[in-house]
Amino acid sequence: MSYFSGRDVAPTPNADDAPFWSNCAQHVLKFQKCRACGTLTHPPIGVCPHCQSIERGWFEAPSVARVYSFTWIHTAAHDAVADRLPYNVVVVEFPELPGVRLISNVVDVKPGELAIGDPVALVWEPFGEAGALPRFRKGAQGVIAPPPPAR
Amino acid sequence: MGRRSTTACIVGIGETEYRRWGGIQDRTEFQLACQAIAAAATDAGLSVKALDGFATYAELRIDASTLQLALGMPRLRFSSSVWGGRGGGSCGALAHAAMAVESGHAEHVVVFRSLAQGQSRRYGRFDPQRAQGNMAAPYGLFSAPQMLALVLQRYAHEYGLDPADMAEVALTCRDNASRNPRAVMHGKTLTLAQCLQARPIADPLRLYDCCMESDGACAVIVTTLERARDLGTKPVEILAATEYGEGGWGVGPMGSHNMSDARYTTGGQRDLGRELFAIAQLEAKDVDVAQFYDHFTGMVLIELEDFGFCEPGEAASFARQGNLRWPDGELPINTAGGSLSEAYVHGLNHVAEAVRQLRGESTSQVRDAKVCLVTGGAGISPSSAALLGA
Repeated sequence: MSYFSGRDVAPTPNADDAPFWSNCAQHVLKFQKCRACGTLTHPPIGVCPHCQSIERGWFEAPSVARVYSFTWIHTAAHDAVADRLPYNVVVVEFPELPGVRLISNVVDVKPGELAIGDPVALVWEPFGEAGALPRFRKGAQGVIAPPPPAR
Repeated sequence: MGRRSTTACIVGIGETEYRRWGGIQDRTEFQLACQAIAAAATDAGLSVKALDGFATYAELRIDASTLQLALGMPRLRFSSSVWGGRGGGSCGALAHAAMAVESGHAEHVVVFRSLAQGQSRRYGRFDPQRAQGNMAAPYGLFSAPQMLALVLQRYAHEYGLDPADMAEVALTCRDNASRNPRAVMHGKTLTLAQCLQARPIADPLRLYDCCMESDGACAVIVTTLERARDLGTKPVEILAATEYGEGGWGVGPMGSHNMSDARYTTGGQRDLGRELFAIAQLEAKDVDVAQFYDHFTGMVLIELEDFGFCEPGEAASFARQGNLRWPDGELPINTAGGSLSEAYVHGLNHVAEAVRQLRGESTSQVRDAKVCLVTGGAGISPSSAALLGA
């Protein structure tokens, strides 16, 4: 069971973010890091915004983040969320990773139970055939779903 | 030359009727565009055959060659569309037109925007084409009100934001629309209680905090002051018109939310505002009336700060004191009703209303208006803005 009953709008991986999604499928959250200068970037982009190197690497995120902003959404702009209203969308930040924020959802909370600054822990939720989405749970300890079988 | 020249002016404005989403079914977007352009030419005292350039912006579904053909224009010397930026590009298109006439590339350039959304799609719905939508759509973040709600929630956390202060923007626009028979919401009253009790959209935004979706078209004609002398209408000077994308902004709140901490609770228009006023050699205090891009009430408050009318965090109290109201406020805004109550045509109607103010023809006329600010969409990059002068 995932936040939107498994009917999430699946991302369409592109040349820049395909590694991000394949890492997610393995329950690994990695952000893009320039191999030349070390600058962290999100969303993935083909060229380092700091030094313009095209050598793109990946850096594993810590599993604890903090709510930077949030909203409770009350209308269904897509059928996938129609039976989940109201639902939350959060922007989380990783205090150790300057320049990186991630859009996500916090599971198992009701309206009124989210605040900016809340610590949240990474959890993985399945979507589609073999994908996984990084979501969060309130508190500093996530419930980590069993990792997918090694391939 | 270029964008720092002050020789370009607006000589004609034209609009079709405005209707709510889906309200125009008997004409296409293309036909509406031609009607607005023809009306603007008539207003300028020009034949459409004198037009020789097009400038536009935001998701264009109209082709320049067909438009030239339909209008019977014997020559097309200039065609441009602001690259990206959607509703951020309204004044950017105006800047392109000004550059074209000032540089001599064209003589009479028409800036236009046409929307018959009932024949295309809803802006408030999921858009699979959205840039970097991969990082937003899987989490249910689909549309502009949801994306900018995140900015406003953070703003509320940093500075405080009373829903009544956002409502003041909606009520100001509705009051102005009550005097403007062209406005979609003309004759429809709105109260503070209605605003505060309206259905929630994305916290902290409720229904009346969000602009309408509309059908209709708008056009303005740009030429040089020299050519304007031969026409019958009073030219409105383009004192400054500029596009601006802030460094590091990217698609900003519309996709990544990785703007810098210092700029997260802005509309990405602070540097734009500084540059705009520097070009015109004016300051915020010189502005008599403003037409702010009002996709969402809270973003108008942020624009007041970005363009220097208030310090960060102070726009809500500025609004609460009645400063946005016509006729007695310090800075009357959106005097035709804006996108919240006149029509949503990606803000080009804000340029038309600025022209009416500076001609002395607004239905909410600010006395002796000499300088009017117009802004493009906040939170979107590249955005744009213009200062027009009587």
